[in-house]
Amino acid sequence: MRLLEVGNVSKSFGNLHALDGVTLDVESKTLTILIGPNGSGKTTLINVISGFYRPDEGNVMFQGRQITGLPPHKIYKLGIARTFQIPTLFWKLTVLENLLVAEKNNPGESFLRSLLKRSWENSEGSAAGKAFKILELVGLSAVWDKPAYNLSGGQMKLLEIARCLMTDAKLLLLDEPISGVNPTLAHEIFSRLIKLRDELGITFFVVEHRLDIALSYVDHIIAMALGNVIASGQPEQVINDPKVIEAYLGG
Amino acid sequence: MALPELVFFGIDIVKFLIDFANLFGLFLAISLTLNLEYGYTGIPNFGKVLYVAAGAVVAGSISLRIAAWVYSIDTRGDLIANSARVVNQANALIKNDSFFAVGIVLLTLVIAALIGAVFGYLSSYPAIKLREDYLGMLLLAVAQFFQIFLRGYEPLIGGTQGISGVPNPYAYWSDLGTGVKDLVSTLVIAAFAILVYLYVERIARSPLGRTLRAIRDNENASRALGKDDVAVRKRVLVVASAISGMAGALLTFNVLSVGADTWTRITYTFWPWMIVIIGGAGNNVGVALGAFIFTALLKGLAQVKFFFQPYIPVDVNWFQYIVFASLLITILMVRPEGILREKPSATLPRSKLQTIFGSSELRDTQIAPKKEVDKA
Repeated sequence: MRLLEVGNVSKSFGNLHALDGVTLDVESKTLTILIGPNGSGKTTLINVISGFYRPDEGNVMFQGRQITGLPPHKIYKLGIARTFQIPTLFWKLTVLENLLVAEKNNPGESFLRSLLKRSWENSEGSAAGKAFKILELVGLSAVWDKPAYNLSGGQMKLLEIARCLMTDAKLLLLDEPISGVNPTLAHEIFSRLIKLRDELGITFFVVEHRLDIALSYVDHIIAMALGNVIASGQPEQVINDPKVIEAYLGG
Repeated sequence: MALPELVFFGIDIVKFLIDFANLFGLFLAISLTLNLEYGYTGIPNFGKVLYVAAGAVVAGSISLRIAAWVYSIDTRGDLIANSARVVNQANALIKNDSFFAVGIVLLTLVIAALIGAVFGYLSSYPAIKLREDYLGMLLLAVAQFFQIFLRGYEPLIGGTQGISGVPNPYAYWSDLGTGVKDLVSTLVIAAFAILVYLYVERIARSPLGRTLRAIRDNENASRALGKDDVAVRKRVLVVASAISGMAGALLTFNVLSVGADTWTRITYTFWPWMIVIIGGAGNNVGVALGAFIFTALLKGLAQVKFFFQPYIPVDVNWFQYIVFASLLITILMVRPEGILREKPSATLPRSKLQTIFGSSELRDTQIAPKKEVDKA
């Protein structure tokens, strides 16, 4: 089943055609990885899907529903969560608070109901319970009350992923989740993503350069170059594709 | 019954305390709204004076007109020029009119809040979606524009001359003795400041407070996690401006005059900023402490500054600016986060969190987190 369908999406910044008619599908409950040389438009594509950029042309469908041009906060509520290439945490908030912010439709966020503790106390308690489970899952429970700026680089990456898991999102867009993470932890992150895919049925669409680590975990690979999809399919098939090899080595 | 007169070293203690409480209460309320905007949400409101002034203008212009209308006082065609006479007659009548006394305060507060809220919405509208520095500059400019408008446009509050009097709603209590009506005004301000404190603190300790801090820390991440940051910022500005407007109205009823130069960007923009920065942005106790330090210094320096005159090379009236600036710079260098630091939102008590943490069943059912093995 196709969870995400990107159809003929283009996005230009002045004369730079960052995306030039990108068409791709992401199958439900897979871990699909997006590769491509620097400047090939991977992050731009993530920004279009998550609503940060409005495409000049084309459309994005999620679960058969048109989501092109919706603002990020609405796309999030439909079940797409994302991380950023450079960790963008809530720096002065604790690790636990970073997760709790991600809770969807929190009654205590209303300007009136926030004044009545009784109206949000229970949902806050269950959100905290869920947050602690996720923190254990990603191995951050020991630092739950530390402010985010105190974390190590690898922990910051983990916290970004953990925050996304709070949402019960169906699709997670991860922009380089293991860059700057040591190999042991990087393998651990991917094996946990696999676990989440299998146990919770989450679909992952991951931008990643470090194929040496990622390759053994992925179901599909999509390769981009110069704002276009140049290959997609099974891992072996894509990495041996002459166009992919040329994009990485030539040019 | 009159308020007692206690004079030490030429200072009337009762009067001093009443003045102190007025100043502390008003600056506490105004600084708390700035803390909600800047400390929690990251909105750099450099136009705070605008909303305070809007409320003050409402109290000055509306109460005078309503008093003239309700009591059918002859304005001889020019309300502003005859304001002193209208006020005298009105105050004499208010003495026997509890309904008017209470009613005018409540009505003015409601209108001041509404006007403040409208100003908050409109003044920020063009830049609310832009980066925070643009918003800060816009608000600074709008506030300055409003003051220039008030200086030039006399029918509202008499321009730079001001209105030489505002009906005193607390005149109703003047038969109780000298100074009692002033005490009533102070008690109203104190009650207002306490309510504002409880309100802002309630928000700060709720999921909303946490979300405000998240938006402040990272706008993009907050959007990616489902927050409509622009809508939230708008609401915060509207609420904070409404409260600032009410503070301005109470200020007018306290000093009983209003004019375009009653306030400046120093009094109600710079000083609240200084209070928030010194006390600790994002910490309401800190802001209360900052407001207290500020009030104590302002009132204290006013009492003693003339002793310093022989020793300082500038006019003594500038002395307070030197002291405040030095304090601000020192704090920024030594403790940039302010005297009291920001704390987690603590929506649930720590003990409860630990119970939740302990009862988490995950440990048995999921893989236990491996220790990071990058020693060696």
